[in-house]
Parts: sequence; structure tokens; C-alpha cells
Amino acid sequence: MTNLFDPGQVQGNAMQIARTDPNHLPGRNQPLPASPNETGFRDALMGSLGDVNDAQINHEQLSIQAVVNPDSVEAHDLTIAAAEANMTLGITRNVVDRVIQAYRDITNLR
Amino acid sequence: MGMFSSINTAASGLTAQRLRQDVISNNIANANTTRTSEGGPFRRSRVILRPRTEGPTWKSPFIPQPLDNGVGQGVRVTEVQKDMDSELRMVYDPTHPDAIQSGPRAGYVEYPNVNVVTEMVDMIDASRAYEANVAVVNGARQMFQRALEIGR
Repeated sequence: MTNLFDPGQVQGNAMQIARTDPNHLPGRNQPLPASPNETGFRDALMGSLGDVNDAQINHEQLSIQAVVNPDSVEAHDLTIAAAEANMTLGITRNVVDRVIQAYRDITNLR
Repeated sequence: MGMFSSINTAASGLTAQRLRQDVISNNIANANTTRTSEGGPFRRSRVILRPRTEGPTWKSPFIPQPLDNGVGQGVRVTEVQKDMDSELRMVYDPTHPDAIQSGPRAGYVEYPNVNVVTEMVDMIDASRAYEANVAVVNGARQMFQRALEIGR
């Protein structure tokens, strides 16, 4: 019984299966794609800020469209865009508040 | 699955129900239309819905991302189909310009196969389904807000 999994090829919950039959597709030697959880907190924050901005822009454009040409946009699309913009902004505010709270907790250690 | 996948799924349902409502209103508006460009009276239309993701929905770390359907992405309208099967309504009115001139049914006018009572029931169904989808959106929003309150 050969070893089916190469421990060096395991990343998170994804792993490469060893090729035991030469007729099978080669796969073991290809490196796994870089997993997104390797980026730091800064990249995660900036990326999610971009998403928040996209949601705001999407809502703004839909509102303008609803005013200029009401027939071209569904009411629920507009309210859902508003809800998404609100929710993304809410989670961003929450995360930033927690980070600032952590910073204050550390600076008050004396 | 993203943060808003359930909301986007419900939004597809909302759009589908809006279209159903539009089709029903067209049917009711044309309930007495005896003349169309394709000949004969107006035929009622109905909406055919399909899931947005075809094929199996499974999840595994071994399958590539493009094949991963998740749990489905909502509903889409495949076609708005004319109902050519159900019987037309026959009304005896020999002076009508669209009355049948000869044959065993002479003097009768073919009216559309729109039953206004059925359309009304369909409309209630569409608006209740719309409400259900709105409830899903609100439920997802409430779950999100509860998540923000964790650890507060």
C-alpha cells in the first residue's frame, strides 16, 4: 500500500491525490493554488473595503436610474441594493470598531 | 457561497413573481380580445420557471471552483408560453364582426381562453410568493444583524 497523500501537498481542506496508475491524469506534481487565507489582515480589510465601496456605488447607480427612468429598474432590486450597502457598511464599521477597541485596550495597559 | 447569496436567490424569486404578475395582468386585460395578428382570439400566456443552476449540486474540496454549484442560485424564467390547449370561450353573437360565418358553429364568436377567476387566483399566488421571498430577504438581514451583535 503506497501512501495516497503527500503531506507536503496538503493545504487547508484541499490536497493532491498521488497517482498510482500511469494511465490516470497527472496531478500530484502540480502545486496547489495559493489559498486566500495566506494574505494578512491588511489585505483582507482593504479587499472588503473595496466590496463595501462597490455595494455603495451599485446602490447609488440604481437610485439614479430609478429617478431618471423608473420603468427600467425593479423596486425590489433597489431596496435589496440598499440593504446590501447597509449590511456591508455595518460589518465594516463593526470590524473597525473592534480593532480600535483592541488598540485602546492595549494602550490603556498600565 | 457569499454573504448575500440567500438574498440574491430571493431576489431572483422576486423578479420571477413580478414577471408572473405582468403576464397575469396582460391576460386579464386581453380577456375579451377577439382579434390578434396571428389570427383567432387572444390565447392566455403562462410563465415557465426553471432553477438557475442546472445539473448536480455537490460540494467537495476536490472539484474545481467553476464546477461548484453550491446549493443553487435561484430561479429563472425559461419562457412565456401561449396556452393553445385549453378550450376557447364560445359566445353566440351573430352581429359581431369576428363571428364565425359558416359551418355548425356559425354565429358564435371565439373569445380568449382566459378565465378571470383563475387569473385572480394566480395573482393571489404570485403576490403571496412575492411576500414569501421578501420574508426570506428580511430573515437573512436579521440573521446578519444578529451576527453583528455577537460578543457585544
